[in-house]
Amino acid sequence: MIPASLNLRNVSVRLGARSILEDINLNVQAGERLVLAGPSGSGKSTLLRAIAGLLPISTGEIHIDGKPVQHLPAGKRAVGMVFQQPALLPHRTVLDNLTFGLRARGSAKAQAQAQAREVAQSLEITALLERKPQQLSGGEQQRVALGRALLRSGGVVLLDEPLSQLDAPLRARLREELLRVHQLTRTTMIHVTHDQHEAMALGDRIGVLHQGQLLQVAIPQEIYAQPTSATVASFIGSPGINLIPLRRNSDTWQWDSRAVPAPPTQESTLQLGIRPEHLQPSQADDAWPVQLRRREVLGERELWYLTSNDGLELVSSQAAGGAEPAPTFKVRPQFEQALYFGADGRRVGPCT
Amino acid sequence: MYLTPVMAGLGLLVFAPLLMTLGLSLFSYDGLSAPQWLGLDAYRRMFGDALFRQTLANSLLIAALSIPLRLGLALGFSLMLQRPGRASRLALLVSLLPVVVPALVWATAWLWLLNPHFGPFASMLDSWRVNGAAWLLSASGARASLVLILGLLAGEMLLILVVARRQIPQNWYELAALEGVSRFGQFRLISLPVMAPLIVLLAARDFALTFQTSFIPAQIVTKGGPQFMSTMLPQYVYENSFEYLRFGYAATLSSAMLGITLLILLPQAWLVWRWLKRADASQ
Repeated sequence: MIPASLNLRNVSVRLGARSILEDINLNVQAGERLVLAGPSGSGKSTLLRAIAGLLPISTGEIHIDGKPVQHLPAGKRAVGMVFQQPALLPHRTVLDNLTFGLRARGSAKAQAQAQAREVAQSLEITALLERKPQQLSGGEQQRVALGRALLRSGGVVLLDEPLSQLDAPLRARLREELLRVHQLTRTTMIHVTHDQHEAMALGDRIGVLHQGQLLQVAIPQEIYAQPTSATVASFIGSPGINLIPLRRNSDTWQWDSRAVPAPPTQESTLQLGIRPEHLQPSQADDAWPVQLRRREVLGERELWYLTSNDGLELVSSQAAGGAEPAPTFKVRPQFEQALYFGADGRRVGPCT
Repeated sequence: MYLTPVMAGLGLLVFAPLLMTLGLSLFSYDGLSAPQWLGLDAYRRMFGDALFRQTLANSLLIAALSIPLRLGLALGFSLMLQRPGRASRLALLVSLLPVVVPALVWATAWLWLLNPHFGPFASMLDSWRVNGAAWLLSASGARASLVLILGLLAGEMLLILVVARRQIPQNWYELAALEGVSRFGQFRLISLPVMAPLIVLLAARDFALTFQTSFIPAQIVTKGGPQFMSTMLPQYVYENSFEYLRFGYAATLSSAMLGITLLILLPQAWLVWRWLKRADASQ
């Protein structure tokens, strides 16, 4: 299979008066793994369905391998898709499910089966070919669904939260499986998820969608360290980033009557963003007094849930095995790692 | 223990009359004088009765034509009404009316619609240059009318098929669309195989009920005419028992009706049984 590129230009989708997707621009390289991440209702599945042709777009253009496809019906776009539910036909065997589309498009039985067996081998599901879908585990069903998508694909495979129905260990195993299959086929994969771990693990690049808008597309490290907005910063990272409202006091910024360093800006209000691992106990004079609400031990690290003097809830991430914290102590952000967001939520230049 | 009232009711209302009918079928009995033992001669006499053969043929012919028509209509409309919405709810309601309205009422409505002299159907046939009155009074006209009346009684079947179709996950159809499968292909490759056991079950049930459902329209609309050409077997049973007081012969006919129903149902039951077994095996 030759991987195909995918380009979206000013794509919008409206359902009646409601705007579901707004002016989406996206360029996906041939062979790239792009993960579209975002909370429920952000429009990521809608975007995938629009690319597949299952949903008409209101405006814009969709190009697959440089050719416009927005006017083509789903069946002519040569796009493979894996849904949240594996959607295997229960009255057909795995082999028949794999050959379903090939046969429907006129392939000879022997040829379709040969192609299906080849894909089955690469997905290590050859032993399941004669079984019915009900006899497979959830993970096996999704592997068959992936095989079917690969057989359909003309170079682009769309994955709509394919792992969300599986338990955590199986999800981790299938993540590896997806990476292995991608290595093998080099097909272009657009993967939708609301799970940021999955996004970070699977994406060459991640696109963050929120309320129908594509906020940022970048490599995982950049999305994490250099988010363009408070929304992106909040979505990526678990536990979420600490967002602390700062008040302007003539030329300086303050929180809880303490001066906080901030970049020069004309903004009237600022939010200071501190990742939990950048909020550490400190004895410094300008450190912030906090109360320990709860301590969560996660194995290799632990999370401290804190409350500041003015009632703001904060989280600090610590290496496990340290001393037990006192009920009240002081923390200090590592300001060199801090992020600042303006009134509209957009990122304001780095701290100088 | 909890089943005792049900079993008692079933025994009293179903099995006791059934056994009495089977017993009575071997006698000649007019309700006035003592029953006379005929044994299997009663059945020999029945097979020699030209009117029995005629009414059985009428019943089977009308069932064979009206049930596929009903199934076809129900299946076709179930695909059109698959999307929930106001129009679909209204269409379902309208189609269900004949099922919930007493049979006598809709049969009388059909009597007016199909009246050979002033009914709208006759004038429609006249406008197509077919003599409406003559056609509706003919044997084929009377039978076609019954096929139409019974075939259009599809509301309940339609409701069941609409629900069954809505149970099929939408993403199966979306995947088929992605594979370039046409609407008809989606019906042939997904809807039909998934709904097939239900369709066979509904057909089997309707065949089992056909002797009951055909009674009232035949009695009201065609009155079995002309020349017994649209008389249904249950009508013949009714006439024998309540008009000619031949209770013994009516019991023989009823027993034969039961036997024929079972004979028709057996292959369908076997098919459904095999499906269920296969479904169990693949779980």
